[in-house]
Amino acid sequence: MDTNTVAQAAQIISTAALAKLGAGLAIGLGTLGSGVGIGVIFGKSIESAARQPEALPLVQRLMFTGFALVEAQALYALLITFILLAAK
Amino acid sequence: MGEPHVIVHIPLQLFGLNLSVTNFVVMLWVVATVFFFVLFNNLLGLVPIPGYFHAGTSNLNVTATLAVIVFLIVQGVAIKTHGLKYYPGVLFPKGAPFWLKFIIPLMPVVELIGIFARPFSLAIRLFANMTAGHQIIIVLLTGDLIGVTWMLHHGIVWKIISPAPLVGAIVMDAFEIFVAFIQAFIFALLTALYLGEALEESH
Repeated sequence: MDTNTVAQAAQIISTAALAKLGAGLAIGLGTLGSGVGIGVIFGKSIESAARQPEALPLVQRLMFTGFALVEAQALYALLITFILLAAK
Repeated sequence: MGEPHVIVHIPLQLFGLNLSVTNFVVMLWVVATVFFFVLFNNLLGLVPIPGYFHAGTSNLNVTATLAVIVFLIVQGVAIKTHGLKYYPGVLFPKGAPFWLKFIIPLMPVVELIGIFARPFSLAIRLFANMTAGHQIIIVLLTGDLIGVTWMLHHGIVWKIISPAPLVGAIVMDAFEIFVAFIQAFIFALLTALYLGEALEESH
């Protein structure tokens, strides 16, 4: 794609529209890693609890800790989305 | 303040902590205050009286203030325990290779970013968790999704699926209670972690 077309397109499309496009991309791509992380955390804790049931209280506590920390990563992306949605 | 009451020895013995009594009392004060403050502020957002009850922690200023206070307390405790040579001990840790500490000083930069990233992440984690849940409930109940609302409100589809947003809002509200407790616990846990890291004797 030559730069002339991109420059013409960037002059026509307003910054608010580009910001909303960025907001969609931000939240879409941002929850990818968090989804994988939460799946891994809960899968591993379920597997370890099934392997050794007397470790369940410890595993459960660590599971909720890990869940909140991983979920926070997706919510950083949501914060960027909110910032971008407010662009003029 | 005087001597702490002798009853604080009971939890010290019970949990096998090797802290001194004043350190334990300081940690207890800070962590318990932070936990209950964050928990009650989170739970206030779930009371459905609009205009009177709003989650305090869904305001970035409140969470940023809490994070800055925790940051200052951690730095103060670290300086009080180790003196001012706490900072060279953290920025130039003993286990790192020599050329990374002094020849190309990447290690101090990384550690400095890590020190300042902690209050940021504390503030934003709490704020974003509280705001996101409330936004989803608002969107589900007011139907503010442009385009989707128009499509759904005109026809047989709306008549079929119209209880779905309300049920969704109720389920999200239940999830919000869970998130309120978890986020308060995580904030207090990370505060205790950073305090413990500042209090430990040697690196």
